[in-house]
Amino acid sequence: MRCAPGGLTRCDATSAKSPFLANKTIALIEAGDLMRTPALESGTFANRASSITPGSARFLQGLGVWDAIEPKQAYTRMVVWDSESDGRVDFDAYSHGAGAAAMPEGHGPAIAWMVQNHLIQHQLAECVARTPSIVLFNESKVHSIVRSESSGLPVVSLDRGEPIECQLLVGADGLHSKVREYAGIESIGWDYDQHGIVATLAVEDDGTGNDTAWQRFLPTGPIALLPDVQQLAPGYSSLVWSTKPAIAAKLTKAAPEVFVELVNAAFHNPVADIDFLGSQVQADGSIADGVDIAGEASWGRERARGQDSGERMPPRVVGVQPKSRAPFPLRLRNSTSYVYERTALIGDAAHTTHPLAGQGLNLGLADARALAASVSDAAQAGGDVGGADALGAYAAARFASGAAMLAAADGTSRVFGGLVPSQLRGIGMRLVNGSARAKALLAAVASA
Amino acid sequence: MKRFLAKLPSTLLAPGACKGSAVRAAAAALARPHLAASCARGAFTPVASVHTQPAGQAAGSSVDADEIQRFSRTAAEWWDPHGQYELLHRMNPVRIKYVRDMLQQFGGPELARAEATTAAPFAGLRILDIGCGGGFVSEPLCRLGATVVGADASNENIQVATTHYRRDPALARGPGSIDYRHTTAESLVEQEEQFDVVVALEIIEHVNDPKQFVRTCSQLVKPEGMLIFSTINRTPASYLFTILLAEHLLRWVPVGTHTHDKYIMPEELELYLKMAGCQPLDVSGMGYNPLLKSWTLVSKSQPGNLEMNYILAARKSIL
Repeated sequence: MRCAPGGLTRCDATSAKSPFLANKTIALIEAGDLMRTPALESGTFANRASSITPGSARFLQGLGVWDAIEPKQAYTRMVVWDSESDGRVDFDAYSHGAGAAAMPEGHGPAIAWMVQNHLIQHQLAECVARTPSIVLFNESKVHSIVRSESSGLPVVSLDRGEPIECQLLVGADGLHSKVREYAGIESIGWDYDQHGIVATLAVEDDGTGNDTAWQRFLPTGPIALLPDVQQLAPGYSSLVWSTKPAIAAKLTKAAPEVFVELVNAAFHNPVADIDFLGSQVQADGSIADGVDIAGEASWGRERARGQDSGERMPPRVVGVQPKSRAPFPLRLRNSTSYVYERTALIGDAAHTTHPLAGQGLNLGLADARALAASVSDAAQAGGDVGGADALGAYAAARFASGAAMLAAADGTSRVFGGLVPSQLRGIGMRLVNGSARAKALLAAVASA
Repeated sequence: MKRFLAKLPSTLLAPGACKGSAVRAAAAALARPHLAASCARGAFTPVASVHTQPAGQAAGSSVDADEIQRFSRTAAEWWDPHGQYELLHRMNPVRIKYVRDMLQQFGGPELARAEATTAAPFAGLRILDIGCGGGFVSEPLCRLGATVVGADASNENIQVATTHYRRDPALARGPGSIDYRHTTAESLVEQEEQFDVVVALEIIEHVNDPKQFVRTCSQLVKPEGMLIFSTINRTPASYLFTILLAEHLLRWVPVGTHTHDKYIMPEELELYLKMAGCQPLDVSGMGYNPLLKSWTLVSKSQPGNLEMNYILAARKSIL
């Protein structure tokens, strides 16, 4: 028996549909209510959308859940540019993409699909419900995990019922993983001096079908605008804005119309304007007397128009969905190992990155996919599903790429934080933008 | 038999391959029941018996007393994934998958079982793992559903294997099972044991009389049943890699683990099988990638694919 306490990636680790594992039973332990679908009415945290890469989508399709997740919004273009240099990468899935073979069946080229998290969770929960080999311990808290003296197997005690002894313990239980604690695996990392703000925004229809992900590097952190699926209309986008904690606090509290102006300024105005506008917002979110934020922002844009390169720019933001703004601290953690005797860590239990572009979820899904493959491989050869061979293969497949992804995420974040001169950043971007090969490579990596 | 041998260049023949030792070994085993259990066949014999056994008797059978002692000494290390058996551990997936594939491809109605599934393809099959050592072939076979008899002539090995088997409750849940026995192939023949499949993996290069060993194994297989052997070819390359490099230079395995003269060429093994009434079905090379630390089957189209390690499947014909 295997068991897996966990977060959003929880179901995926356990529902790998390998015929070689057909005689294994999976205990799925969930502290919350897995079967509860979050309310869909506006005003809830419906802004928790993720950008699902083609690799993750193929995995979900293999589990039979991808096609049932609707709606989803593909984006086929990604534009990344810099506020302090003329660096700009314009990436198009059609011309630089990873190719049809890398895409899930029935889909054309895309960089990724925007999908709401609760829909993914709902479909995976349905998948769990219709898979007889998964025994769900719903709304069950892990009381303790100990190693059996006689068998050496992990034994998981819940707040009720019999303890569960398992061949393989999969920890998908997030940042403060109890499984990681049991395994004595250290988690190292740091909190950034940055917060992220997410929000659902109404945007002007610029006639492009909202098919592009936008990201601009600011000295205080990157700001990203991704097509949103929630409203089934091209007029909505998701915002992920990473910035200093003090600014994040102001942005969360500012009046909706002020927030909208600040977002527009962050995408379209010179850095000096953004700094000035930000400084006019008080700590409680109010505006200094007599300051016309909209007017100042518009004046700044007019003045900067002379330098307009003629490149396509993000659509103008015209509103923010009520109560959709939420701040969260950005942190980075990596476990010193992803495996232990009869134990594997996946998702946030193994590593935590900031949620730019849903990288955390995609990493977690990739972990689940790799673990399922390793375990299935071992089972095919009659191996022990919790044995050193299976876990060694998983660790070999994931530890390096997890660490690399985190290093890259951290690298970009530190670049955003201003440690690398923006001119260098600009040069790097121009090099990438000028090279079809570099773009194709990026596409292959990003769609894995 | 002579006619077959006459066609072969003499270099192809292993030392002692056609000296009538088969008959002598069988006779010896039958004549001395106390030895039948310990040395008449396989590579392994309990240490106690080795010490008390007259040297001349061992020489007459397929048993090699030195080999038995060598492996008994290291019994406790069988399950250390990074110990001296690491290479064998890593060889397991490719060997077991080969057994799967061969049964699927050539199994036939005699080996088809209603209870077999993809997860437990060997369910309902009785399989002998001869020279089972610490049990790391028997356990996968059991997980895949087989009713396994793991036989080894070293009591230490049987103790290690039994202890390890009991540690994993999943193995006890079935449908497979393992019956570890401190015995030899000859004793099993004597007891008229019959198996659907006999696997002899990395063992024949340690016996004194491979031809007789093959015959004994074939006697343990039901008609239309299957035999799987894996071993090392006797080539300059295998000397270079398995002895000079792996033993003397890299020290991957202890010096003296292998004796190059005892390596067997695929042609020889196929000949012994035919002589024992078995039909060779497939022979495939196995290659080790030290960077990936994994073994894979070598493509048959690759020149020299059988130069080193190889694995072979044969069917016992209806006699």
